[in-house]
Amino acid sequence: MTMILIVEDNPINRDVLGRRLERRNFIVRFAEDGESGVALAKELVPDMILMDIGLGEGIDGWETTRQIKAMPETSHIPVIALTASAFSSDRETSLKAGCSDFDTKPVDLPRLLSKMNLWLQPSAVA
Amino acid sequence: MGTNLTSLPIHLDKIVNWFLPKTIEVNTDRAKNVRMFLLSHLLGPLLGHPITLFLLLNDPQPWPHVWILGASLTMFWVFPFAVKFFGRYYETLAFISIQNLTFAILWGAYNYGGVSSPFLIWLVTVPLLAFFYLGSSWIARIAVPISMVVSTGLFYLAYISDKSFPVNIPLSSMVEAGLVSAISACGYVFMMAIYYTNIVDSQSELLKEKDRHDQTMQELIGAKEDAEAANGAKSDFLAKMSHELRTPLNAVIGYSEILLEDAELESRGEDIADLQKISAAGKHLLAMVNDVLDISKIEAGKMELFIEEIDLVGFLHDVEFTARPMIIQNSNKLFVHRNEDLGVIEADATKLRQTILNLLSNAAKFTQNGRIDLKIERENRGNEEFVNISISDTGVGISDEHKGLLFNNFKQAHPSISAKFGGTGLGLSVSLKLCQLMGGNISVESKVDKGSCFTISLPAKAASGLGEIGISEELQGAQVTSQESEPATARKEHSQQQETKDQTTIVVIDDDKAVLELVERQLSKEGYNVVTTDSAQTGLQLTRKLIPDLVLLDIQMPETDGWEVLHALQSDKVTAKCPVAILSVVDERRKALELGAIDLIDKPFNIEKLNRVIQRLNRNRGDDQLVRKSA
Repeated sequence: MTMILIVEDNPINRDVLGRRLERRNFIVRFAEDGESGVALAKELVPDMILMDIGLGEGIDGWETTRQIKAMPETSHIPVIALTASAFSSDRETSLKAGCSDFDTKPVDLPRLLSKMNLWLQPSAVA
Repeated sequence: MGTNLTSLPIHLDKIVNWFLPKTIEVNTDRAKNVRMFLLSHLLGPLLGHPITLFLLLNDPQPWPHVWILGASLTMFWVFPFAVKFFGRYYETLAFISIQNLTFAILWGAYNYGGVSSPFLIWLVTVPLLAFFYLGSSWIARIAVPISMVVSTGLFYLAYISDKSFPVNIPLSSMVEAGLVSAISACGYVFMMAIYYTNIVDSQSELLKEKDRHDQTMQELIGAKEDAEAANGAKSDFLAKMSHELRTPLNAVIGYSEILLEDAELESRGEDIADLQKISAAGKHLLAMVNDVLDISKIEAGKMELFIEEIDLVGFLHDVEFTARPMIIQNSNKLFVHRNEDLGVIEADATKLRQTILNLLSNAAKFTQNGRIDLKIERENRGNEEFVNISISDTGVGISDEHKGLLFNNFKQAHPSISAKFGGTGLGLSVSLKLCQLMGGNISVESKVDKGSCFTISLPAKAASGLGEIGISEELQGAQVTSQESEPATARKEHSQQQETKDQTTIVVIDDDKAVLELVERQLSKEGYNVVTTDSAQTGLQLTRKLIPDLVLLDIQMPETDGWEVLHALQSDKVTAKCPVAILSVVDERRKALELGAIDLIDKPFNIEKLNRVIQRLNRNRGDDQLVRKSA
């Protein structure tokens, strides 16, 4: 089973995305902010992290990603950044922060799933 | 002065005007001085000669002193002629006249009564007249008092040499003459005082008028600042609102999709249809919110470009992939025409993708069982390379009258369209503005029931296009890009035509900053001096100040519309002859021509249309280039 960690401050978004992924047989775990996201990533070592960029208070999604990528035990986990704005600057910043991919909210599930598949395959092979 | 002079008998005013030299500009302070000078010189001898006559009759030995006095007073009639023909030497003439007056008074006083003479009282009129003639100049302030001291000194020396004044008529026989002289002197000073009061009154009236104007201006500036602040607040508000609206929309869209999945799993047909409607409505609302956010960002000048290299072939593949699902919805087929060697361009990939997808989705929406063609090619225009991306369909098409409305916010070609086809009415407006931000444009060709073709035209290097805006200075709130701001090398590369345009100044008045930026960039590149403003008022001032060779005037502006500006330009003598071309999305050429514009350039603006107007302007002038008019 594939475990996904969703780092997202908005409970509705968390709930909707989580439930839709669970239906597709993912194991879903949640973090409400960047700090707990880093902690959970280290503790659970999920197969993938879906990272909201605008995380309200505390560190943002980019900083969270940087910290996750800086830890040897979690650096291999693919992170897909999710943001409300479609600006290419956000995409660039996300890729620089270490994210593997980038998608916009509200989530277009088929599109997100195809991106997730792309990044999950190597680990599935391994 | 005005009130005083108009109250003069008309004939006298005519005479004064006849003597007024051509070298003096009307309505200046100096003209007022000269008029005063002429008036008192024409009337002065009439006041003086009764005295001469009295002396002539009462002096047993009038020769030579009465005749000298008479000659001196008659001399005043020579001065108006001298001023008329030697107006340049007015100050000198006025000074000589004052010396003559001093001499006449002292000469009369010396010969008839000495320091007790009834004529001595006239001496007080000398400094008074000096100021009237010369204004507050150094001659009136310094030379005249010195000359009076010197004259009085000579008067005293003449007395010393004889130890007495000559007694031509005994003082006792001059009592009546003395009284008349005193009253005349008082009358003269009285007239001068009235004149002076008139001037002071009219000036304080002017000052009050000026104060009122200043106050109005302050209020206008305040109102302008308020309006700008309100506009900024509006953009901020829209940006915040759009963001805040998205969160609940996420819930609507997200949960309706969850429920939709449930319904699909359980094959509840009716629920599926309802949930699809909720989901579609939510997505539509979200698209609108996004468009509003984009528009408010563009209008607030906050939309940033992220120029990157785009590999066109890969980029199009991606766009095509994204667009496929919406193309097949109405059973349409998509054909892509492109060469494999399209290479790379520099543009903002996200915004270009958004624009192309928007046009593709429009094409798909308005076409049933038809074909949609996406065609990309490079084009060389002079020194610059462009890439043209055209999206054509075989759909319903757009009538000519609706074409003009296409790119307006919230306007769809027909109100029934949103009912039938959906859409926000903002898509094309956003697309056009995004293209313009990148230095490009979108043009439309369409025939009803045959289909439409939208063509995006972008410079292959958007970044360099933006860079050329270069050094722009603030001039009364207007953006000025002078041709000098272009790099010297770039200027050389432009053809000869540039030199002929060197002197051509164009003022552009349009409330849409994106249009201003685009027009300015294109015109500057062509070598024109371009001055732009988004305020009608500033536009009027600029036109008055610069007397440009052409004014490009937008019609649809929020406060003062273009027609009003056109009217104001034509009612003002200074700007009446400035050629004005109207920029409009609506074809109101006839109205524009009737109201005195030289032409109408329909929006979206492009440089070819303007060049045609300028060529025609030149032909009409029988001239091979635009010549800067001198004011």
